[in-house]
Amino acid sequence: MSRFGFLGRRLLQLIPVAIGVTIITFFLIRLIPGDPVNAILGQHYTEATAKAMRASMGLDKPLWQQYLIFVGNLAHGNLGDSVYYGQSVASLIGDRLAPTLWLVIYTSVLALLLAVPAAVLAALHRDGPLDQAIRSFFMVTLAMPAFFVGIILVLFFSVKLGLFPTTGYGDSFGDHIWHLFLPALTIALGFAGVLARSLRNSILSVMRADYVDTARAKGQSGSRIMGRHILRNAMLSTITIFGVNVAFLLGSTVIVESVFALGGVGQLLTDSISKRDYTVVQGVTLVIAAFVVLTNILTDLTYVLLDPRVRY
Amino acid sequence: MKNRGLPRIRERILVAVLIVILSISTIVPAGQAARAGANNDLLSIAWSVDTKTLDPAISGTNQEIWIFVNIYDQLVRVRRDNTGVQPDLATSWEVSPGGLDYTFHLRRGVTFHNGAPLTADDVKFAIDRARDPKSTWSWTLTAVKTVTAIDSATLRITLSHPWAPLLSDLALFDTGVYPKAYFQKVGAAGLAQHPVGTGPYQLEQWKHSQYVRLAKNPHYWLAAQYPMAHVEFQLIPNDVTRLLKVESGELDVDNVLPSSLIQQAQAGSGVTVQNNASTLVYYIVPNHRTKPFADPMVRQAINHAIDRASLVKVVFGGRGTPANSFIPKGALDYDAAIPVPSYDPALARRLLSRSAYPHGFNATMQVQTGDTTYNQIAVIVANELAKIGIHLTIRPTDPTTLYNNQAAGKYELIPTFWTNDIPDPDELVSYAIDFSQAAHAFWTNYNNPQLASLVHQAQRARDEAARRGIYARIQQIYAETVPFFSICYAPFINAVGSRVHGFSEHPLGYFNLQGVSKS
Repeated sequence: MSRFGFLGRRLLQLIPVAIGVTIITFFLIRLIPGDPVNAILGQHYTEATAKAMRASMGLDKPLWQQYLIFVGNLAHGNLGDSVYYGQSVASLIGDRLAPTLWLVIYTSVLALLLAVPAAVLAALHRDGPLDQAIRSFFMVTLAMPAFFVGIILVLFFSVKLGLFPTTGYGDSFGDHIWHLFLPALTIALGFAGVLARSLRNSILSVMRADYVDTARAKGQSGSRIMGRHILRNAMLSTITIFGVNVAFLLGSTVIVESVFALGGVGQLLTDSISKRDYTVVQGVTLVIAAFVVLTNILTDLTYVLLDPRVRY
Repeated sequence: MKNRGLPRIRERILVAVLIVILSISTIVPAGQAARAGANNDLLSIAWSVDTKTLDPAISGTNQEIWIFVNIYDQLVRVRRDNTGVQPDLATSWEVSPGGLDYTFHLRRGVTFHNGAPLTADDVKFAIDRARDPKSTWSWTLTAVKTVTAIDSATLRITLSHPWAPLLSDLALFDTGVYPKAYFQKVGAAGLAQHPVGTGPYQLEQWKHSQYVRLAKNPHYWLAAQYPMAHVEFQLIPNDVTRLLKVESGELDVDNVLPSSLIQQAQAGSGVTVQNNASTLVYYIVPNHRTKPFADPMVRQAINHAIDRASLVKVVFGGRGTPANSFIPKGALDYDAAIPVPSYDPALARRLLSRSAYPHGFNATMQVQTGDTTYNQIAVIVANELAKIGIHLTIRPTDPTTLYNNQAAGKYELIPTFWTNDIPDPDELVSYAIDFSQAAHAFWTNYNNPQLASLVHQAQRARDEAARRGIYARIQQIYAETVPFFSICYAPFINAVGSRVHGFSEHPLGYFNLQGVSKS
């Protein structure tokens, strides 16, 4: 099958995933007691106001009708309007997607920058003091909760040294790099731990392969053996872990978004769940599902670059 | 053998690390600049709640209300000391002898942020919309029969029956005035995103889930008394981050300082912890439809089993006072003469022994998740009640589920709080005591016709002294019957940067930025 055929087939998979996600989120969120009217009115709830509000939001219609309206809108590319913000869900997500995507990409880059050299060094010094030190370091960063790491980084780099801003996302490319350094580092420290452990083990097992001995026998340099023969093969399993985790990051950055007040998608999702803003929850879940599928496709495509045996 | 290629690899890693460090160090100077960049024209205030709408007729969220009061004006406004109302868009008013007609004379030369002149028709439109049943606060204006624009500068409000709290209700943010023509053009959704009022500040930029920035309205009738050129309300969900930002000088005011961080805030240099007089009261409300709490002896027993003084010390670090009434201390018609219920476990046990549950019972307290104060109160009260044989299970519940359970009567006990939105006691008293109101007496379902009748008398009484007498009687009956438990009065606590001058939180919760400056 051609590469385009593969891409087309994988993108088509988005349709059943989307249908599944819409059904599950649509009904799950409505299982939780309370509705948007409870959330908006809170203590000021009155039957008359609530009835008028429910009717204006279409919440008085039977559930199946509400679902059909939602799917009908979706078929026209319309995610609906948020009952709480009074804005279109697409614009709400649009506003908040950029900080989160930036954070996910920045985190990934930092995590790789930390994990790959550390894993190589650890593998080369197997069981030596450097290996132990690297493994212990990542064990600690992996075990520490993100909100704690975030606060410590803010305390040291922002409050004491004044090097980075405490919160916010910035307005330009350079500004984003600067503003998001601490939040990205917060997640990357834990994420790099996962990657480095897996990569170190892969490197160690690949180092024992016959073709590595062959390469050495051919007199190739150490760095060429590491780069072309060992790392390239060892990366395959790490790429899988990387792909799964990056997809997971989009919805799980909420704690870091909260500590650094980034106002991203994670924050929007948790806020909307607590406010029962049904359309927003549905929209955000759909976008995250699409992101997961796309990340998996990209991960599969990366295998082609690393492993010539893989063909699509 | 295995380390043969290491030196070169090390070299490359070192180069990579160097590149990263260099790239970071290039942006460091910008960081230092930002720290000093907190400018004197901008006052930044942070809290933990996102701003969803700037439409005053719809919102019930405190933090949104506190933004409205800077953008919109009403006919009258609340005095800074919360002792009543004073002229705002109306410079004067007359009341007809029967108390049914209020005629307001509007301030001349007032313009909206979009340049349109203010007319009585705009005021009528905003008030009529606020009393539409679809509006959140319409219940405060049910006595209003008609609103008539007599001419461009005169407005008449006619009531269907005398309504003593009318002026207070008209000072509520929900009657904030926006241009009728603008609303008809942009609709409710347009106003919610792009508010236009006559207030001291106008919307400059709203970055959703990040900040709402306001710019000074140069045409405001008291513009000279508002030194700050810009005000920014920031969303910073994390408690520690907010405080750290005040400490580092990046933020001027942390509006939601939890009691657990007060000590740290006081230790930090350049931070003042303000205890502002408030109308904040913490309660525990029981559901009278659940059996144990319908028994007056059970409620009396619980009332004497709670050590309010210790609770204030532990939860609020001593910043607060045990509550003697359900009406906030310092609010109009608060009765200071009523004693605080004594902490007397022996008496509590005796009272319980005279109830239908002499050996105690088990109950559940639903507590809003993520709220440190509620959780601390719940744990302390559960501990106290266990001493007299009432065993509470604390069930963390998310806020919307909690509101739903409360409205549906699916609860036994809930810790909650109240802050007045108007100076008149009627808002709280009718909400908390009058079963015929929508909240069925603070959702307790406590139905006391005598209390309800007094509430209605107070609403219609035109003589101030007579009203005070009625409210004193209501508070006395409340103390005797204990429909719910008043726990304590707490101040509004803010961490304020030392460069800010003249800042304080109004007893109703918002910030009047008149006279606030930075150095």
